[in-house]
Amino acid sequence: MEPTREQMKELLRLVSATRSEEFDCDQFLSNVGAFLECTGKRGDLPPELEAVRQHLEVCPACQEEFELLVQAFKDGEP
Amino acid sequence: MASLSTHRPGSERSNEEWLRTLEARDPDVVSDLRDYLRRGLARSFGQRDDVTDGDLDDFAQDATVRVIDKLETFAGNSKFTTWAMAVAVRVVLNQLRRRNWTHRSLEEVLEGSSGELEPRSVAGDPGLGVERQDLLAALNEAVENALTERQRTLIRAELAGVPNEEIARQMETNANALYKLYHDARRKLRQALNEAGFSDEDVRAELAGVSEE
Ligand SMILES: [Zn+2]
Repeated sequence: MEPTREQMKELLRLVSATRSEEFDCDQFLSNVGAFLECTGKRGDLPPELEAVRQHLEVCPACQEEFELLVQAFKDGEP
Repeated sequence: MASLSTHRPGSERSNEEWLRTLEARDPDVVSDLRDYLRRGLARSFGQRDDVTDGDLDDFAQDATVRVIDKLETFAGNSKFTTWAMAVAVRVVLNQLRRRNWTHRSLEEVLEGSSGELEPRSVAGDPGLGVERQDLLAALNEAVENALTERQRTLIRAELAGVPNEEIARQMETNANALYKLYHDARRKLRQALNEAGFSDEDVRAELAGVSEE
């Protein structure tokens, strides 16, 4: 079946966010804790965590995971 | 060894202490880890209609086992407990995705037998400007012509919201190989758009327009 217009827009977004070198989902998991701890602080994201941010743009599954992880720490340490 | 029976929030134990005691399977520390994960998972998943208190107990237990299995993969660049919670969320989300998946084949999903998705031709959509119609038509063509059959199936399944684990199972591959296939497919599509005359800047500009709708 043909993709819907919304699906094609989403694909365009995914393609646009694609980089030559990317973290896979396991590398994302190894580094997402450090990324989460950084997002609560002031200042720029350290360059070594840029790949975590980029993975969130191209991987809907890890994006969903990250939103739930944020919930777990929303009111401080669980 | 001092008794650990009093409650100690995760933040008060050092990473080194967590690792050393969990490697030794200290039952008090395993229990603290399970309680900590249970509290976090309740915040992440407790509001869902399809998750009971009993589920949360089971999830916390499964996640604890998984974290202990994966101790050697902890990179040490965050608090141990932050990493453990990330592992736990992945364990639980994968379980829920499995539980909620309706066990249809990819062919059935991609044929649109559910009728939930409204197929709509990209070309000739009156809501799109000329430039954007051209861009989406080029992307459509790239999906048809620049990808392998497996990459096309994967991209369509991703867009249809099929869980990665299910795609991997039905395509008889593993998560890492699937991600590589997905990454290669996106790179090929980007290349095909460039060759069709759409620079990365053009695409970004069009997307900025999309988000303003
Ligand atoms: Zn991912």
